Amino acid sequence: MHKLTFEKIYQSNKNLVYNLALQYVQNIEDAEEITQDVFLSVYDKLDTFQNKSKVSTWIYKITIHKCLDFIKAKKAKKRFGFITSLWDEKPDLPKGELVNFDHPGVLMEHKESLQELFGIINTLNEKQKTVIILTKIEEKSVSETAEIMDVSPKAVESLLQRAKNNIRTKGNY
Amino acid sequence: MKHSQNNLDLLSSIQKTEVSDAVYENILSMIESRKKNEPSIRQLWTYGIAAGCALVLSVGTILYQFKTESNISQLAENMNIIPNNSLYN
Repeated sequence: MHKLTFEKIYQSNKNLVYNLALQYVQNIEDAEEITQDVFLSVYDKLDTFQNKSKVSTWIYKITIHKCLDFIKAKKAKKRFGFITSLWDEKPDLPKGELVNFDHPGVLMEHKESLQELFGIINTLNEKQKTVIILTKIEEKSVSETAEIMDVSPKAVESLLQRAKNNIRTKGNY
Repeated sequence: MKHSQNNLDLLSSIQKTEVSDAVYENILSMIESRKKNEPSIRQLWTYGIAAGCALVLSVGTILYQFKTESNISQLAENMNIIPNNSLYN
């Protein structure tokens, strides 16, 4: 029974999780790893899920949490790699932006502009980045975004405004 | 401002993509391998009870030895003799 429910949940939400993860990490390999991690959590927490919110909202929350954790872990790993490279005789570790841009949903003609834009979005704080992803890419309404992020709709609007300002400033637009 | 808005509008042009089937296979195999490596509830009870018994036995032994030793010391003191292997030696 548990396995059947899990399979049903996986089939109806797999692309939601994968695409959301792609917006955070912008590469296939990492997005697949996050998708696996999210569904393992869903499997573990399935018995404790209370039907207070929609399953998709619950899965959105888990995915955002996992994505942010993944990015933090990757940054920490990169920082550690940089420190060890100071003692390394062959410092051939990548020192540029941590993003290996390989987003399958980006059209060829927009690739350059979106790569640049994601570079700026990745410098925003977690909440601003999440608001931009949910409202502008996932096309969620302000109230849906507020429910997913556990904040008020007013807070979402304010975060969105600040995120737009930061993108404008950082991008020299 | 307009340029920035145009750039943000580009975000809505991002297409939705399908996740590879291999991901589900990986998830299932990870769940299976976790099940195999997880100790069963019966095993947990067995090890728990064994560890509890060992703890009770060792505490009991220590208390018994302590009590016996203090009895011997007391007896030796009463009889005004120095017990063997005592601090008086």
